[in-house]
Amino acid sequence: MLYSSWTFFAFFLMFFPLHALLRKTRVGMAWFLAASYVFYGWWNPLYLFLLAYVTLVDYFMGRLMDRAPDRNRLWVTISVCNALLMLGFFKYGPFVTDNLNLALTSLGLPFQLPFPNWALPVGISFFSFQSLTYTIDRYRGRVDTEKNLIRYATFVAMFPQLLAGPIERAGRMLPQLKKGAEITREGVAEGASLFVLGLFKKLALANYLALYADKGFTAPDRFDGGTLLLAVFAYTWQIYFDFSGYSDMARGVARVCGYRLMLNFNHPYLASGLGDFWNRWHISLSTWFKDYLYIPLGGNRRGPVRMYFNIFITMVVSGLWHGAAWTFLIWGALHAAGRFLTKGLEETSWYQSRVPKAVKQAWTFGFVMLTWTFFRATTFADAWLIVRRIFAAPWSRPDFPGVALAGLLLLWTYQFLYESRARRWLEWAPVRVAGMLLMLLTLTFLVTSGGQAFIYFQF
Amino acid sequence: MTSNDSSHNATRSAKTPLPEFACPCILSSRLWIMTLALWMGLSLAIPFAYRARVPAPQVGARAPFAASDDYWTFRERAAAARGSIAFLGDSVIWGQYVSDSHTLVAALQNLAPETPFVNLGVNGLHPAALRGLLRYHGRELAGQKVVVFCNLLWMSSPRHDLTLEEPATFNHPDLIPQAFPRVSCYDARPDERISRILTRHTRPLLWARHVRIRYLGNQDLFRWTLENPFAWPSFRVPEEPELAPGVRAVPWSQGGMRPGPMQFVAPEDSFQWAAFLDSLDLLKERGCETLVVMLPFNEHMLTEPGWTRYREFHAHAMETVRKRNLPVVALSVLESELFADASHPMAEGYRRMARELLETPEFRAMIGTSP
Repeated sequence: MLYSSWTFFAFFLMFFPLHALLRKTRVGMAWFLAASYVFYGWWNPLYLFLLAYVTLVDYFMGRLMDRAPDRNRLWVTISVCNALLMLGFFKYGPFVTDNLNLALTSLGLPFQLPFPNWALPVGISFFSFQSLTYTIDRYRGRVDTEKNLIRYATFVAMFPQLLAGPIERAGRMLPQLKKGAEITREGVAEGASLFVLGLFKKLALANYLALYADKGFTAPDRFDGGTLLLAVFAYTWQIYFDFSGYSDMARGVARVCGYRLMLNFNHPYLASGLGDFWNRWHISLSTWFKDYLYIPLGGNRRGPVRMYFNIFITMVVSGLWHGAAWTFLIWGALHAAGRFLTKGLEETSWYQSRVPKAVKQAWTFGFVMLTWTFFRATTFADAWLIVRRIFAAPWSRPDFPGVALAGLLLLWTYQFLYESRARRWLEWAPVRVAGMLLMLLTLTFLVTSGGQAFIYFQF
Repeated sequence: MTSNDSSHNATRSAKTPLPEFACPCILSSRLWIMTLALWMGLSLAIPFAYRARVPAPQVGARAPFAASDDYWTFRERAAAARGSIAFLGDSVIWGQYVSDSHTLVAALQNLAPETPFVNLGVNGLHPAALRGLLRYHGRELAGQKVVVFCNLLWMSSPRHDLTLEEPATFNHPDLIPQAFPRVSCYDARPDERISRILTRHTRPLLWARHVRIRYLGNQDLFRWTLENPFAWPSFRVPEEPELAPGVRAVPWSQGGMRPGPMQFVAPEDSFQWAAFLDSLDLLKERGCETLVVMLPFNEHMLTEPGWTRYREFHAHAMETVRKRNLPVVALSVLESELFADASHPMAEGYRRMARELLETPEFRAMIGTSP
């Protein structure tokens, strides 16, 4: 069920009263777990076996790290391999099969592998990574063994962030679950604020921009550079509002339930460099890859060549994490290339103090926007066509709604102001109330449906 | 990936801690109470202000075709029709194949100009939808004189009767029961059903729907801006075409239709017939003076066994309505060339129906004239 649906609202109304009543008891944890399984099983009850499987494997690997600590390396390897095999099977199986079949055809061989025809379990990339934070951090000695299976299962499956993150760390969540939910009046107010903000971003902004972006990306050969540029621009904002909106809703629901989830997006389009961008975009995933891939590969501690190699691997894997397609790999590789070219530059004092911030932000945004083309396009050919047409004449006046353009510029300005000295005006109570009121009225009168799935559900 | 590679800390360095929120629109509980109060107040005030500013609909004409499922407009028209005799029915009453000046109500008005009649016909209003319309949007009809028309087309097949077991599309899904009793061919997700329930009971949502239908071509503002990228909504009402879109006002036999069997359902099994009877009960509860009129069906299109089943249903319907102590009139079947399809007459057909209706004692009693 989607957060932006009445079904979720009804589900939450049934869940919350008992949760509030039982939150400090053992039964409360079981209730939270049961609700999370109902939430996940709503998509497809068969997926629950997968969720339970991941949970049990990592839980027992954690227990084995206590019982046989001399073989901890083996236990963590099993956990990691299990997650990778599962992702490989469900997520990358069709991609690998497709490419192997293409290779067989091009070699003139008369054999074809049977094409796997199963749906990707929703949220598999998220909960498998989240569970891995436990076994890896346990191996590193950063978290204690979680002996309570119910609590551990709740950590993996907790419904506020099960489907699309934020990818939480065991070290952050398990202590909260152990302490019990802290439901306070101000916490509920904060949670409600985040939820409405996320709902507005998703329904009023992301879904709106999707109408324009989809038009351009579905049939790019029918449009000129101007229209395609605006389609890419629209998608750039769509994916931000869609994903950050979901994260806000997830954090809001968790906050109302008495738990704190990490911030996942911190105005990424105000980044003044690619490094800064990855500190602001999908923070839970970028820090996951930093801590569990980039640093174990050596990070920047083995010289510049190895560092750039590690960045390349991390970005490409990050791209592939998003989807099993060449376009995602290319997207990751482009970001790696961008980092290669700019990392040294961004660390110079000249760049940091002499180049105007607006210029830094503009080029970063432009680069990120163009790379989203590869992320969104169905094929590489489409992506390349779009990029070529954007840079080639002629352009005609694109039919991009003035209202949408004005709205985006307004929001962009709002973000700029938030990171400037004018922020105190935005934090003034009447402005905050007016902002929330505007969002509520928009949701009441202008939004007709909340049924479109979130982009990151496909990952 | 970041410049703090030497740190194994999962979060940012102490120099640049991650903020908890990236937006200042985080309200305290006190501010939330204020915001919610303002929100509820404005949500109620905006439709109220609209109603005060926008002129009441002219009820001399039928509702615009585009307003077929605009229930806000129906409520306004029903309220504006106080003191008149309201004609309630489907597209046969609305006048599917004729212009506004040639409908049954227009023909009656010409024949009896001293009595005000109002055409509250709604396109596609099958009996189950009629029940919903009266239940959720028909309070303004309380205490009024209402002529309600029964079109047996809606019982002419399991599909029309909404008793098909497989999913099917039909008119006015917003007006039918969303949960109980179960409508077997209604296959909406829980979300759609909840949304429909909320809209029918919440004035602001009903008003928002009205604005979309009336001023934005029945699409939301976002889609409207996509089609009109350089324009602002003018909130001008589009001009009403003379005829409903896509119709050809020719006799049914010239329009490519042929006689055929129709699988009229049995009255005791009919979902639509039960809904029609519920509608009569609702009108009675609301203190309406009701006259039931059985519309003439295009019997020339019926072959056996459909024709026999139709006559049986017709007889059963007449008897059932009489047993409820309600006046009922059965209009005579028209000549073949006066029908445009199975139930819709042409202009001359409406004139004949009007003359016949005006001569019935039941209708004369309603309008208060002697034969």
